[in-house]
Amino acid sequence: MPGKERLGMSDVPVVEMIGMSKHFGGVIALDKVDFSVYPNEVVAIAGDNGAGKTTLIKILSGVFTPDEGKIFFEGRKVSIGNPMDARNMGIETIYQDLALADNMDIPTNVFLGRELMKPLFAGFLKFFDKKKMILESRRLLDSMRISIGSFGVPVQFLSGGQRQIVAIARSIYFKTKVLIMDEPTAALGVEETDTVLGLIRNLKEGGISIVLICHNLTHVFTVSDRIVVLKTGRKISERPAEGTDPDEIAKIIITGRDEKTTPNA
Amino acid sequence: MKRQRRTLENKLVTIRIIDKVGPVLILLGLFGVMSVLYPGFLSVSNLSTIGVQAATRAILALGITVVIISGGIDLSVGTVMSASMVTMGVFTLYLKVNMVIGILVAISMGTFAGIVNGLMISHGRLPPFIATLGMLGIAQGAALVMSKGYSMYGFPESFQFIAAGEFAGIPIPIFAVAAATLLVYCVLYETKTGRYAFAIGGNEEAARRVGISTKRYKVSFYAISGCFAGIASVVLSSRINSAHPGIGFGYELDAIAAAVIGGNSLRGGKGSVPGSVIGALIMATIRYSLNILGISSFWQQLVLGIVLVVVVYFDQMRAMRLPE
Repeated sequence: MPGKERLGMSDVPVVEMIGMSKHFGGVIALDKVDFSVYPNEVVAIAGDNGAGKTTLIKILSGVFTPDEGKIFFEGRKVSIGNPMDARNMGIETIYQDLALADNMDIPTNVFLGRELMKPLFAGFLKFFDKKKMILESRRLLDSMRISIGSFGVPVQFLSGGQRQIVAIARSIYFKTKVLIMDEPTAALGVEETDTVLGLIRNLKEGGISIVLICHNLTHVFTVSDRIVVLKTGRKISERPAEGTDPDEIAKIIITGRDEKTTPNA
Repeated sequence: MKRQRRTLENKLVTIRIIDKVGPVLILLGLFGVMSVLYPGFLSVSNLSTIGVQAATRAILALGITVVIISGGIDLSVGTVMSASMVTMGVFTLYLKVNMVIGILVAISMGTFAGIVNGLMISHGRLPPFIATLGMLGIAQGAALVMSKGYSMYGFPESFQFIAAGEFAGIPIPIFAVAAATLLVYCVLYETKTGRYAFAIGGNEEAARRVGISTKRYKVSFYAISGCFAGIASVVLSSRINSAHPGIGFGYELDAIAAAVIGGNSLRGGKGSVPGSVIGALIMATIRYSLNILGISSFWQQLVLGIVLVVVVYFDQMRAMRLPE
């Protein structure tokens, strides 16, 4: 396991997936892939379309259940049957389309599905704690050193980067341990990309492990500690980011071979 | 960048004001035109009649508002209203059940129909248009079967108080509408059910991904709509002092038109509770005006059909005004 050799890294992975396999009819989407994430680590999953990246993260986020394989979360064997299981463990996912309710404002989106309530009449009735949700959203954005003025405006009127930040804010509020991000920079301009990449580093420093799917290898190398390369459902390479470079990883993705590592052996 | 956002926010505020004030202006315009065409139109008794006639439509429109905000549609509220009042008739007139229980039966019947709608849509995966169109037929049929096609008379005299009674000079149905408005407002803005109606109407996939049980909530939205059809049936039945199996058919168009005029978009995710009430007043004013101008009911159908089409056309235009 290359991750273990890293300095100061805890021995116990936050997430350890062993022998993940998934078939869709006759198509093998994943073939006995091992994948782990350590605390305070950014792991990038690279690979061409159809390599199995999305299938792997969808298993981790509870959208798919694997045909074979075991998942350990903080050393305990778990089964992730649905997205709610994953979220309850502290595994959050931000999909490429962000999944925001475009017609609603920032605090509503941040707390959607997990609204803060305040009890009334000695707890017989519960009402939305709107004030607290607004304050907490602000605090959250402030802690990310982001200021968005238009708090009460439906998020459809925010820029791509601001929307990404709202999605991130929503994902980290509830004691998140692992954050899966699918192409977070794909739709962003240069400046906003820098903001989001900076944010990923901050999140890591704040104790959140990040699984990153990203086609842009420059972005991958800006933030990642480790890079896993998949091809046609198999893991073909796994390297610490130090000691390799975008060109080498690109070559591995294209040729489908990595002479230096023999994973899954 | 900052300047752009300013203007965008200004534009949003302008659009919101137009959406809010627009329906009121339409209503005042109607009043203006009518007081020219028919001097004395704005008498207290006329307005009170319009208010009472609008009450049924307003209650239906308020229920439908929740469904429309969630991105759905309920075509069945009119005939569900018929079925509810006929059920009440069967219970109170044939089975000699107490009238208060009869009223509860009517409301339960409407709610039940709404739950069935919701189950067909959420669990049966039927498009809301088809599911509720089916329910329109089912409820109409049920009303006719239960009543054998006849009007049912003989409710106790006290029952008429609901529609004809007054408190402090204001007709009781107005109070019923006020209570229903407050209730729907609270549900939409203070409860999860309401907030998730907006969320599901805005982006159903997003709602599902954050763990909202969209199926369960959809059933609630249609149950609310059905429940309000049941309540409307009690008010209407009291007004005509009978239960009539054919009376509800057509009310769904008024209710949908009322909700859309009031600023509820058929694309979902956006709505206005007071707007629906104003919309119902507009629809009732149009109908009442056509009546006192002596325009035949055949022409009325035609006019109201055109109103619905025009209203939805403007709703589409409204969407195109917004920047992407």
